[in-house]
Amino acid sequence: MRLGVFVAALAVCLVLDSSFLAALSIGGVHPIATAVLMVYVGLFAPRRMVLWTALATGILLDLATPAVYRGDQPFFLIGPYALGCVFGANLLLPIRTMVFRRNPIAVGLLAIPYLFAVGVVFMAMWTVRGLYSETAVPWADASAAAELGRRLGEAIYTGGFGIPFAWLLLMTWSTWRFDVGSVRR
Amino acid sequence: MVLLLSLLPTGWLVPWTNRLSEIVRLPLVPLGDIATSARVWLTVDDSQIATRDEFDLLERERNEYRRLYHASAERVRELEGLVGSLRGLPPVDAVGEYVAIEVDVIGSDPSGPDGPLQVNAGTRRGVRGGGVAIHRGDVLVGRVMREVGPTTAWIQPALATGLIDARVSPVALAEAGVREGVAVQLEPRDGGWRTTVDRSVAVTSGMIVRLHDAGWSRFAQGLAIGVVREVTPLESNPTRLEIRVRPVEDPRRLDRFLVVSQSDASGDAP
Repeated sequence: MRLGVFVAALAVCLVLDSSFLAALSIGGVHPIATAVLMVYVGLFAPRRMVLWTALATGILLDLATPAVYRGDQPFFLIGPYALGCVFGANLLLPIRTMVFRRNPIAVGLLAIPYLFAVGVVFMAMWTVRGLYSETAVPWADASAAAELGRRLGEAIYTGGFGIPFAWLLLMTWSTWRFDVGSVRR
Repeated sequence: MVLLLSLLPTGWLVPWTNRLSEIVRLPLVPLGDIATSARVWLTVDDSQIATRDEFDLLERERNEYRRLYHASAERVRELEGLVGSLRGLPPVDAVGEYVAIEVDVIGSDPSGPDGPLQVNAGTRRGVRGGGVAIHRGDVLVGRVMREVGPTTAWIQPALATGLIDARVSPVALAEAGVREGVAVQLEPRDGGWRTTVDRSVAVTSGMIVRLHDAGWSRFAQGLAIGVVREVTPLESNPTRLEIRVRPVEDPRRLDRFLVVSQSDASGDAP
């Protein structure tokens, strides 16, 4: 896989997530383009590459997700998304040989469990941190169940959004120069 | 390693993760600016579509503002003469130097659209923690969070700052002074605020809610934060009314506003 192409695609997806896709928001949830990109890379790249890119992407997502500390101080916690993305990638790797990888519907549908798994780990990490008296969890006054439901909705929405987005990504498939043989190893 | 990082005490992480975030996201600032402008351009704001009653109200307000404008023009002429005589006297009880900076929104929390907004100005342009984000001169957007970076800063929307002290005032400008109106404490709820007042208090839909909170910067006092959306009897206590307030402006729909900060380096305090 060409890393330069991945970095460029990741930059575009991060910008879309933090600045544009809120335009498609329904009921407070909007799709996450980065998750679709991670599923796309996870379907074609070598195993080690998938895990490292998931970790790097998760760290960048953590650095784009401000929490509030002491009422009015932004605070970035490295870990919840990073570990979540690695966990999601580990879920994806065993099943990638069982799907039609060049099909955008497969990419979109796999984005649902992937993003939900990321969300579960994200919430688990913040719940653990919530034991510190100084830490307020990002979902504030809402219950954990409500936040989990919101994240499930976000995952499903991302799945729907992921189909056309994956189609666009698959159009660029030759540019990525994936080593298809490595997927079976 | 990452697991360990995620469990470190917050105080250890704040100084360097904020800087790291700014450095990592710096190359994305121009793209974020463009994407935010595109998002705002594409989004339809339902709240801007007026009903017949709202249209009539707007027309009455326009006439009222026109009258006030002419009265003010007369007053300005009077005051110009007075200023001429006062010029040259030393300033007394000055509010201090301040800077007003126009900033563009370049991003927000990807998974929490109600969270803080990132803007493309930081300490290099004079933005300080505790500064106030203002839209159209009279609407409070939020406040600048501490730990401002050299080139970017985070704005915490007013709705995300917890309980707020405010005053509910009539719409007409003449009656909308901060010192008048009903004092209330607003609690964030369902994308707006709620509060309760005694039943004898005259509060109606459409009234303006203005900030009157000592916890905020002096520049924020008196700015509009919401509009009374609904007034209903409180079920659990019929002697009180429950008031629901919607924000005047949805911060997510803004791609540009003004940040007012103290111009000195120690301007964190309100």
